[in-house]
Amino acid sequence: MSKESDKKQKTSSFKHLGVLRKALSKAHTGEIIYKTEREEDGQIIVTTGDLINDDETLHALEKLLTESIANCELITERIDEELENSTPPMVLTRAMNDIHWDAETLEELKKTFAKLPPIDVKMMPLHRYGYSDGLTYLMLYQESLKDEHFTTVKFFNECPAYTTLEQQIKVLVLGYCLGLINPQVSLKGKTKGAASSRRMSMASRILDKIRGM
Amino acid sequence: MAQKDIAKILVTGPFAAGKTTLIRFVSSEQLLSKDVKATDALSRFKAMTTVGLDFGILHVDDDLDVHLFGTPGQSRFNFMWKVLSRGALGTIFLIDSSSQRAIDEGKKMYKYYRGKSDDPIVIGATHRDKEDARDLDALADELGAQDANMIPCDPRNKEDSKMLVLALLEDVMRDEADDELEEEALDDFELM
Repeated sequence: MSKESDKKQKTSSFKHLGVLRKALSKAHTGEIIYKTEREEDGQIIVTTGDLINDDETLHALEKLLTESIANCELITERIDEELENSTPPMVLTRAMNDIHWDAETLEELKKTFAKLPPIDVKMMPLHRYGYSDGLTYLMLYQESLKDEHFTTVKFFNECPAYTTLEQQIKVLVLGYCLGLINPQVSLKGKTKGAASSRRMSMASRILDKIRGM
Repeated sequence: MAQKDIAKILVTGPFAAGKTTLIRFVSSEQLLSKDVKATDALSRFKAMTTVGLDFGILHVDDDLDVHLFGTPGQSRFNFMWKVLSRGALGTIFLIDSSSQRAIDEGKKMYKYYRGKSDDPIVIGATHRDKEDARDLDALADELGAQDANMIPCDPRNKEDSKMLVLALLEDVMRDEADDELEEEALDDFELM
């Protein structure tokens, strides 16, 4: 096998995080089914965009988030109009508190997140839902406010030295999976009506002005 | 000559939280601010307090100004917030997170405001350097503002003052955005 194909084999894919995001940010009911590269199977039950807060789900999530995943899919039974619960599943924040990645995986995750287009970050007091490092998420949110074209690369560069790469990656993974991090275009397109459009336009111009002050 | 559009932002919260300072930092011009010696029980906590209104104007562009209104920091002036909030983009609620007295007053004010309006509100928790400063969870619980967007800040720092206004404006935009567009955008946001 050539060196190039060796390299390709070692490059991790994190598409399974997109599956988790899809399941949690829309009101899916069904199952996330995955297989690790070590041929271990896992499944996570999703109910209207929420997860069961039990040890079985916790372990399945921890494995999904830390192992190399060969295949992952969401089997949807139905999609409701609204999420069962608009707050983050506690089992996910519990899992994020506990897991660790090795240095190589962290670098892979960093490279992967760095490819995302400019992002908007929605504020969520994650510490209230069991996540132990709400301050790093707050930092991500505050940095995003300052910059009209905020990217994850800027976040990595602006983060103070006292936050580790793992802390930075964890808030990105959490924000991504919960749909709190979105492409910037999501706030600046169509609005709900003429009055909304006027308020949106004013807010957008004031934002630009204050960012430049 | 065509009239300029005016956007309104309210800055409120109990006494001595930093409202006047915040308005000073984000205004192009500050027109009214009447600090007088506090004569009631508050004088133990703050020598000067704002009577009437703080008012600042931020010139955004040729067609838009922002009027920033700072309401007095005592709950007996709540009625002013009701009048001023009509047509406002939203409210910045500042609170001294180290003062039990301010938190007690803030709880009454916050309840009043939330009962009157669903407009976006961002809470700035100030005086974080004080020994008695509550952590954000405890402060949210005491205020009855568990789901509010709460940001630790020091209004004496210009960047922090700007941050609060930016946070409010982001919330305004999020409120006005069409959710369907967000869903479409989500589909193209995969980790490759």
